[in-house]
Formats: sequence, structure tokens, C-alpha cells
Amino acid sequence: MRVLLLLVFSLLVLGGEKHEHHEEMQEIHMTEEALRELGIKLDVVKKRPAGKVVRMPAEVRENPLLSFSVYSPIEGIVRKIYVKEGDFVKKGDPVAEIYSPELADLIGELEMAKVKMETAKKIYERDKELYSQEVIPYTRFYNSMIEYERAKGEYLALKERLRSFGDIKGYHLLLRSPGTGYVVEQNVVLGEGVGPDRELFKIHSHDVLWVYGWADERSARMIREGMIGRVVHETGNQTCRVDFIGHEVDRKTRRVRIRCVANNPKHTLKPGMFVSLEIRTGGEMAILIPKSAVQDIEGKKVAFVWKGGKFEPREVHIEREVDGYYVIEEGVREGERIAVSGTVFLKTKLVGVEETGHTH
Amino acid sequence: MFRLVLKFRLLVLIALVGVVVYGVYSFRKLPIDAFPDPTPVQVNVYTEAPGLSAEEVETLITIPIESVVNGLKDVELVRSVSLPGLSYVSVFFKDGTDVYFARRLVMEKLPDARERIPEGFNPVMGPNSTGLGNALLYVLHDTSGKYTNEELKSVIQQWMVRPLIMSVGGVEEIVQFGPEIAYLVVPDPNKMIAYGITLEDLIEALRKNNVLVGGGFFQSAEGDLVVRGLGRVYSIEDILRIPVKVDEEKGVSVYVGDVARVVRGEVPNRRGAFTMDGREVQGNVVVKRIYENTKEVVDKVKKKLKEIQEILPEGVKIEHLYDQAYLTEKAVATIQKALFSGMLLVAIVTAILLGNLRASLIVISSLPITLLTAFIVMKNTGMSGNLMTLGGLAIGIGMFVDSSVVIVENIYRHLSERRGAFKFSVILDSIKEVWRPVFFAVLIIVIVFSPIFVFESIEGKYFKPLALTLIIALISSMLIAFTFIPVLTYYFLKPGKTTYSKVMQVIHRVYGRVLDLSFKLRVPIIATVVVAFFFSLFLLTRIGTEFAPELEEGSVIVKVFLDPNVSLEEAKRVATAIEKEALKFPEVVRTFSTVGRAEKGEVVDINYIETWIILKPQSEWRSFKTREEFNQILRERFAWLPASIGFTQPIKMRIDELLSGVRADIAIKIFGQDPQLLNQIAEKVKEITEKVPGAVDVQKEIQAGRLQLRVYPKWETLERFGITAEEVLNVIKYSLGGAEIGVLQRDTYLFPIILSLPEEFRGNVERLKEIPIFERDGKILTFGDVADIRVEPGLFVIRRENNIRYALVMCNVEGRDIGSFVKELQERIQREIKLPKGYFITYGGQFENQQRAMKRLSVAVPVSIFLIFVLLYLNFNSVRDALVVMLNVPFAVIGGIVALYISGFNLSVPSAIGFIAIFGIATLNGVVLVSYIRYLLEEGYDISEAVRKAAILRIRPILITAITTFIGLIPLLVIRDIGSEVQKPLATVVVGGILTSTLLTLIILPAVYEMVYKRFPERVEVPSVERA
Repeated sequence: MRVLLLLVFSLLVLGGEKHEHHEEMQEIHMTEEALRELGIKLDVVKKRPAGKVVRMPAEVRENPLLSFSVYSPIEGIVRKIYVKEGDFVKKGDPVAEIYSPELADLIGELEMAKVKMETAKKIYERDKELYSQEVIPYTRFYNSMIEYERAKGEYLALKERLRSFGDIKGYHLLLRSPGTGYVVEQNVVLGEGVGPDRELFKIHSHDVLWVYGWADERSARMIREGMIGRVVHETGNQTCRVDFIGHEVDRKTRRVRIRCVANNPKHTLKPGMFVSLEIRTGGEMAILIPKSAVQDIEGKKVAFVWKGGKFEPREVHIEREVDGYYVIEEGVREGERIAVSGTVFLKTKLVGVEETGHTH
Repeated sequence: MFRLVLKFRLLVLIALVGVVVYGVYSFRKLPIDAFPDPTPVQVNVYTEAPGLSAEEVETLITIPIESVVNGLKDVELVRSVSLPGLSYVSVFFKDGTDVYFARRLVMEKLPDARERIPEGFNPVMGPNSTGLGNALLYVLHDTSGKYTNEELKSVIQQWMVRPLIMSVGGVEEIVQFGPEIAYLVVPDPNKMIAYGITLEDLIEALRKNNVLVGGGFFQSAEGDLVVRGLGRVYSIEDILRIPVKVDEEKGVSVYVGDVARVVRGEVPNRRGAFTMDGREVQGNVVVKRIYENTKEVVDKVKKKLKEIQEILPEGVKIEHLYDQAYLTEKAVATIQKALFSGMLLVAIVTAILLGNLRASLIVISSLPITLLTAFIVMKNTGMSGNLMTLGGLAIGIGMFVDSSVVIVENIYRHLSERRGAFKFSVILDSIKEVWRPVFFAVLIIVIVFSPIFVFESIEGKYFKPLALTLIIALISSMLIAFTFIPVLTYYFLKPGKTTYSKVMQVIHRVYGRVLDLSFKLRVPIIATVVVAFFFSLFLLTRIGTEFAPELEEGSVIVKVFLDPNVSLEEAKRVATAIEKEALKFPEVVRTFSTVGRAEKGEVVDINYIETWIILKPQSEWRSFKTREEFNQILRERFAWLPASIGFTQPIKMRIDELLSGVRADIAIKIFGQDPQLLNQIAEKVKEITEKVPGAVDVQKEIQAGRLQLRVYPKWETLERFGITAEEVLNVIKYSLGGAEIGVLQRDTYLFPIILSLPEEFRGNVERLKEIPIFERDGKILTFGDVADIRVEPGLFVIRRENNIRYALVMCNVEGRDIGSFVKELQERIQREIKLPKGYFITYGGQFENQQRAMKRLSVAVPVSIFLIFVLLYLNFNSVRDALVVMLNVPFAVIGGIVALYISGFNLSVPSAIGFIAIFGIATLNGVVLVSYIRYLLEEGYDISEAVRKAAILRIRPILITAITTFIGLIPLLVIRDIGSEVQKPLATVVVGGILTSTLLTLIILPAVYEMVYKRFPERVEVPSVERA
């Protein structure tokens, strides 16, 4: 009944006034000073990636591909430590010296083998001379040659074995860093006995870190591998690249893990930090204007284009909303200047303060 | 009696000194006010409902309150306004109800209302003040840069200034604008998710870890110890250290500091601000208690402000901006000026006409004595000296000498004629001769003013005091003429050489010739007068109507409505822009604005701004001559502003609001049920109103279009996880509604702790949905999980009167009288709008009072004229003579109307009172003349001779009374100062009326009397009044 009444009445009231509703919206004249006083700010319409920015909580983790451990290949005793926890080391920098009896034995054997080889060499050279003068028979020369070759082989084998342990400095084994990074763990003190079953140092490169985000299910569906994200934390921002999207949903938080690989050249990110991860999805370029630039006038969405001294109200067609922005199908063009704040005042100029907002 | 007076003349003289002394004392002690306060008996009930929309406020709060107060005894009207976050119900009681009784009645019913209102909302009664209670405005501002507005408000105003001003007698309340200190806990939703913390956890932790308990006493070896449980937080660090939850995985506690920042900021969701000269300050309105004298309260508060300045920290200034006493002082000074210059003029005229210095001095001395006597009566009956009461005295100044003039004149004449006679008996005889006509004259004036006492409402509160003081003073003047004056004449008056002065002799000669002429041209003259009378009646139809002329208050208020969705920051910008523009005029002393409302303030939201523009005195205006012109200039200058703008004045605005609930000249209310339909009709009404000539500042109150953030609980989810809607709304209350979670104690001050979401979440609905609020069954649920959050337009304000909703269109009228404007408007609206059944339109504003007053007068005035006739008849015992005297009524009407027409004033209540006054004064002229003619006839004179002689002999008293009354009003007409506006139409009518009625009495009445006497001979045996 009321609807009927309303209809009948609307006809009565609006009967003679139809023209007003078809009128073009008029321009709004306004001086620059007025803009300033009312706090109306202008901005140039630009194309921006139209994807929604998904923002999620995240934690920084180490990149296992860039972690290094330092082990002693032989049993022994630590005689010297070159680095301590927290130090930055380059690849190949010495980190420790190890004394090992095994190594000492080996060196002794090597010395012996060397003497043996040199002796054999001398015999071989003399026999060679003698044989050429046909003083001795070939058999004897041949035997001494064999002897020498064997001694040389033994020596080289020992030398090779020694070299396999690494750099040798005197009787000590010099351990070098396998990669560049920070010494994040030190499990050894001077004089301690170590062996291949014991990690001495852990070295980690922070140049590239992994950022694990927890995206809610809906957002996770929009995220693809290879998308560019942004790690937001208190000291700044870093870009990152999504390289993994979790295959299961966390029971408690009902969120999906997202991994984003972030370059960390200045080392502002640190593993274990709680940060925010922003990922822009669906990044095709489109015209985006802030929601604050648009007013609802008699059921139409209207933006205000600055024409120098006046605003031209323009109806805009909105494709969708993205995170505080409208994606505009048509209405404003790139390069135009529009009001992005205080637009409620422009609406008032257009329709007065009594704009009712009802739709019928 | 007169014999006794003369016999104990020394005693009388001593009494005179006593009266003078007491009179002066009374005058100095007389409470001074600008206006009689027209506020009806009214009790307001406010209910703060943070977070509720207008619709909910109406349904949940306003209607329950209305329903309990509706049935109260003597309730005449219940008005209500429901705004987002505030319900306001105003209960109007019958005039004359004791306001404390009314408050009790409402108080008794409030518990009933409380039961029907959801928990947590507490209806409270508004300050016991009046519509004109906003007596004084002051601001606190900091010049050193050390104090923020928050500190000024929460520390200095709240704890230092307020208690001191509240202690001033008569101060009921201080309405305080400005931000308040709060400790804001700003959670980081991302960190919350990371730590697995929900808003519910956070709220719980903050609430439960901030308590203070008393532990009684504890006996120990150290003695009897008081046990105190000190679980209260005292600093930001304390809050940060509050544990929220134990993280079971990691086995560590998560503290508030891990998931939130704590900052000192302001209480969110503020609904108002106070700006001055372009920046925000901490502003306050001192509200006076009902029945208190404004000026006294203001003076005391002003003194207090000076004292407070001394104790304020360095750099903090307390500044007084505006008070109503300013107007009072101006207005009363104006009226006093009129009073004294009137006295002076009357004195001069009397001296000239009497031609005897001593006689004149005696007559004039009666004036101050009369006024002093009136002050004594006023003081002892509790009346205050204000525009109306003092105005009454100013208007009557010429009449108050009449009694004395008649008596002194008669004594003087007798003394001069009966030289050498015993002074005592001469004086006694002279008084006996005239005391009855004097008494009779006063009686007539009293009766003639009686219709004013049938006024009610504002017109009654305004004009009854005027009539009352006038009557009091008139009666005093008569008593003085009967007591002190004879004694004074006995001591000081000496017989003159001649009875008549030179001036009088000239007048007599000229008058004699005029009389001859009038007898000769009797018929044409009478015909002319008749035509003139009808012509004047015709003129009357061309004169507009209004309630009363606007008082010039010396300041302008710009009322600004903005779109209902503006932010406080945006509104402040507009206020600033207006202030700056106004300050460009050299006539502007200062500007300041109130944006929205303070705690217990107005029923408005932040889209409403009142900018005050305080002007220099009118004499210093250069850029514009009148306030209307100034308004017009401003109207054009502000045209660019995105706002709907209206103009008014501080006190006028309040009075308009009292009358119609609206701060404009005219309020058009469209009653009905469906808000949308109401809105449409209102729109149409607005369009029509704009087309009516004279309409300015047409505004339709915004009722809808307020964007709302609506939270619809997702019932399925709630059900599954066993969450109640209350739990959801509870979280909303704390996280969005800004409800206080606890308090932080700093020294002895307590400051609220409030949860405040970070800006990026508050401003973005999508983000809001991501905030974790509950943990149930090991799952974290976000806002978006448990509720749909949408932004939709809703209602902005819902007004109701006697339980019916209404929409409002308001406008001011300029360049035209309100009466005819309203008539045209009503006709047009009736013609052009067909209302659905159950819908109706009413019109409110001062014109209502005008119409009601006129309606009352249209009955009361004829009655009083009839009463005069009866009195005349009793006096003369002759219908014929009574009728002839009554002829003066139309004579006076001619002059009154013509004067009104020429001056351009409208037919207002004051001008109507002017007509009433001249009816009386004019009749008296006739009485004086006719009585004497009858006396001469009895003496045996022939009719023609009697008429002539009487006219010649009586011209002096007639002229003196007429001219004194006339001249006494001249200052009121000439003065342009604040406060003279109201009395001007009255004075105009009286001056015009006296002019014609006196001239016609002197010229035509003798001729008419002679004619009538011959045509309707009547033998009357009863002796007439005047015997001698």
C-alpha cells in the first residue's frame, strides 16, 4: 500500500519537474584560493596496475640455498679461530686452523715417501747412464726404473691425500668459508676437539631471503607464482618475487603460505622479523582513481575534472573496486586533473546540502 | 484626605525624602536584564548513544523516553530529535508550572524509560537553564606552544577552570568544546595474526589488567596496615607491558606492546570543535541557571575569569568572547538615554506652556519621584529592569506628568486668580476640584491597557511587563500628584502675575480664529475627517504584519549546513574560510565558530556550523549601513562556499528556536510517517518557498543521505562457532565506537584508554574485514568472517513532535513583512501540494505569536473600548456625551495608521499596543473638554458660548498633556542605538495618534458637540464631574 502511495505521490510531486532530471550537470566555478581553503586536492589521472593489493602478515626466513656450514673434515683439535659469531666473511676467508695427529702422520709419511722417491730417482738416473754405456744389462736398468716410478707414485698419492683435506698450513689444517655471509652460529672454542660429525660454524648469506606470508584463502587464489610483491617493514620496503604458493590451509588461522623471494642488498630484512607482505594481483594497467574522488549523486558516480578555474562534473563508470580505488571503465582520461579530496564540497555545490541519497 | 496631607505636610516632606532615598537604592539594586526570558517551562532529556544510527536512536531510545513523559501532568508538547549518537527529547509544560516540579516529574519517569532502553545508555536531564541560558562564551588558548588543545581541555579546563566557574552562583553548566586526551591502543592487525591474537583477547586483556581494589586492613608486626591492590596503569609503558596471551608453541607471553602501539592522542569520534580567527581553540559556553539574572551571572563569571587568568600556567590565555550582558547593557543604556532625554524634553515643554518656572519645576520634580516609586515597586515584586519594563517607563514618560500638570495648573490658576486668599484653603479647593477627573483619567488608561494581560506565551512574557510597569508608574504618578505635589506647591509655589504666559496668549488668539473657522466649515471638515478615517483604514490593509521588530544585537550569526557526510576537518575548513572572509571587514571585531556539538550541547552534528561575527557599534559601520545589507554582502561573498547558509543573531536565534524548535524566522513542518515521502514533500515545499518573494536563506533540513557503515552479523557463522551477536557488537563498540576500555591515572587525573584501529583500517572497509576478532575452536575469525560490512546511506536526523515524525523546511524573510509572506506561502503550498492522507503541514515561528496576539486583541480591545464607554457613561450619565468623547478613538486611529504607513513599520504587537495607548490618551482629551463644556452649561452658559469658552479655557491642559506625551516619545523615535527597535513602532503610532486626536479634539469636537447637543437635547440632572 505504501509503495503504491509513494508512487502516486512521486508522480504528483515530480509531474511537472521532469526536465530537471535530464539536465546536464553544470560546471562548478572555483578559484584556486577556494580550493586551498577547502582543502580540495588535485591529482593527475594516471594508469596504474589495476590489481588488488593483497596485504598479509609475513615472517622473514633464511634462504636455505644460501646457507653454509663449516665442518672439519678430520678429527683434530682447534688451534686457531679467525672469526666469531656475527662476523661477515667472504668466500675463501680462513675461519679456523685444526691440528690433527692423523695429518701429522700423513705429513711424515709424505716426507718419507719423498726421500724414498728421490733415492729411487738417483738410482734410476745412475742406472740409466750405466746402461747407455752398456755397462749394465737392461734388466737391471728396468728394475731401477720400476722402483723409481713406484716411489714417485707413492709420493704423489700421499700428497694428493693431504691436499684433499684442504689448505695445510704447517701441520695445521686451514678451514676456509665456503660462501659469503654472516657467521650466524659458532659451535666451537679454542682447543676443542672436532671431527667431521661436528658443525663448527654456520654461515648465512642475507642477500636473498625468503618471506613467508599467510594469505587468506580468497586472496591466495589470486596470487600466482612470479608475481611481484613488496615486503613492508618499519625500516623500508623491498620488492620480492612469489615463487611458491602453499598447497594447504593452516588449520588455525585458515591461511595459505606464500613464499616470496626478496633481494636484501642492504640487509635491512632479518630472518625472524614479522613484516607485512603486499602482493599486487592482476596487474594489468588501467585508470584508477581514489574512492575519495568519487561522489554518489542521484545514483550516479561522479568525478570532478579540473578545467582551470572550474570543475566539470563527470559521470564515471566503475568496473570494480580495488583497495581504496575505483577502476574506471570510462569517464575520465589519462592526464586529466581531478579532485581527490574534499569532493563532498563539490557535490554540495552541485546539488546543495539537501542531497537525499535515496534511490527510487 | 487632602486636608490631612496638607496638615501633616512636614511629615509628607520627610516621607518624600524617604521615598527618594529608597527609590535610588532600589534603582541601583534593580536586577538588569535584556529581555524578559520567554522560555517556556521545559525539561530536556539527553541520551548519548555512541555508535547508534539515527534510526536506532529513535527506536531504541527516543520513543521509549517519549512514551513515558507523554502522559505527565501539564505536558503540552513533546519534541524530539534523534541524531546519530544522540537522542534529545524536549518536554514542554504548561506555562506557570514550577520548573523544579516539572523536573521532578520527568525525573520520576526516567527509571521507567531506562528499563525500556538497552543497557549502557543513560538518559540524563539537560541543564536546568533556559533557551537564553548561553550567557557567556570563553576560550582557552595557548600562546607558548607548550599546550595542545587536548591538554587545555582535559587538564586545564576540566580540572582547573571548570570547578572555579561552576562555583559561581547561577552557573548551571559549562559546555566544553575541544578534543580530550585519551591513551590510544593502536593494534597492528598483521602482527595480531602473526601472534594469533584477536581483538577480543586484546580487549579482555586491557580490561582485566587495569583494576584497583581495596584489600581492607592487615595486622602485622609493623602495625595495622591498609591493604591496597594496585593493578592500575600509570603510564604508556604500563599498558605496553600488559600480557595478552601465552603463545603455547613458543612458550612465551605476548604483550600488548608486541601487537600494538600506545600513543597519547585524542578521544576519537569527536562531534564538534570551536574555532576562532581561523584556528581551533578550546571553547566553552557558560550556561546560567533558570531564573538567574543574566547580567549578575555574567558579571560574576567575568570577574572570576580575571582571577583564573592569574593562576593559569604561563602562556595559557583565558579569553572572554561574548556575553549576553553586553546586549543588556547596551539596551538598557539606550532606554535610559531615551528616558532621560524624554524627561528633559518634557520639562522644557512644561516650563514653556505653564510660563512659570516654579510651577514647572514642581511638575517636573514629580517625574523622577514617579520613576523612583516605580523602581521601588519593581524591585519588591521581583521584576527586573529590562527592555520591556524600562521601555514601558520610557513610553509613559509624558503621561506621568499629566496628573501633576493638572493639579499644579489648577492650583496655580487659583492662586493667581485668588490673590491674598489663604494658601492652605486655595490649594485644598483646587485639588478637590480636579482630583476626580485625574483619577478617572488614570482609570481609563489602566483599563485601556488591560487587553495586554490576556497575552500568553512569548508575547505575554514580553509585553505584560511593559504594560504592568506603565500602569504601576501611572498609578504612582497619580498618588504623587495627590500627596507630594500639593505639599511642594504649598512651600514653593507663588501666585503669578498673569494666569497665562505670553506663549499661551498667542495660542489662545490663534485658536480662537481656528475655532471660528471650524464652526463655519463644520460640514466639509467633518466629511474630510470621515474620508480620512476610511482612507486610513484602507492604508492599514497595505501595512505588513510581524511579531516585533528585530532587535539589533550587534552581532551576526552565520548558520552553515554542510553535506551530512563531511568530516570534522572539512567542516573546520569551512568555518575558517567564513571567519577569514568576515574579518576582512573593518567593522568586525572578532569571529569564532562552533562546529557541531560539545558534550551536552546542541542537537546538531558536525555538518552544522555557527559562525559568530561580533560587530563594532553601528555608528562605526562604513562598508554597510544596516545589518541586512551586511548579511546581503556576506551572502554574496559566501556564495562560492559549498554550503547552505542562513543569517541570524545570537539571541534572536534562540528565541526562534524556542518558538518553533528551529533557528529561523519561519519553520514549515511536514508531518507524516514515511521518511522518504516526507523528504519528497519537503523538497517540493522548499521549491515553492524559494519562489515566494521575500524568502531568503531557504533551507531544507537534511534528513537522509547520511552514509552509514552497517554491520550485518553473519548468523550461520555465528551459530557454528557459538558466538553471540552481542559479542560481535561488543567488539565493534570498543574497536570502532571508541568506548572506554579503562583509565590511565596521571597524578590525580584519570584519562580514558581507548582502542583505535590504525588509519588504513579505519578508512577502508575492505581492510576492516581482515581484522581478527575472535578465536574459536582453534580458528581465528576475522570481521569479514562474522559480519557483512557495507556502506549505505541512511537517515541523518529524525525529528518528532507529539510522536509524529516531521520534515523541516526553514527560511528567513527579508524586505517584506512576515505576516503577508506566510499568508502567501500557505496559499501557494495549499494550492500546489496535495498531501496524502495522514500527512499535514504546520507553520511555526514568531508570526504565530503575532497572529495569536492579534486574535486576542481583536476581542480584548473592543471589550476595553466598551469598558471605556461604560466608564464615560457612568461619569457623564449621558450616552450622547460618552459617544462624542469616544469619537476621539477614530481620530487617533487616523494619525496612528498614517504614521505607521509613512514610517514603514509593520503592524506588530508593539504597534498594536501603541494603538491601545492612544485610545486611552485620546479619550482623555475628550473627557477634559466635554466635562468643562457640561460644567459651563450648568453654570448657565448658552451652548455655543459654553463650547467656545470651554475650548479656549481647556486648551492649555489638553495641549500640555498631549505635547508632553508626544515629546516624551521623540527620543525613542530618534535614537538608533541597540534596543530602541522594539519600542519604535509603538512610539510612532502614539506620536501620530496624539497629533491627529489632539488637533481634531480641539478643532472638530467643539463643533460636533454643539451640533449633537442641538440635535439630541438631553436634560441631565446629575451633576457632572467637574464642579468648580
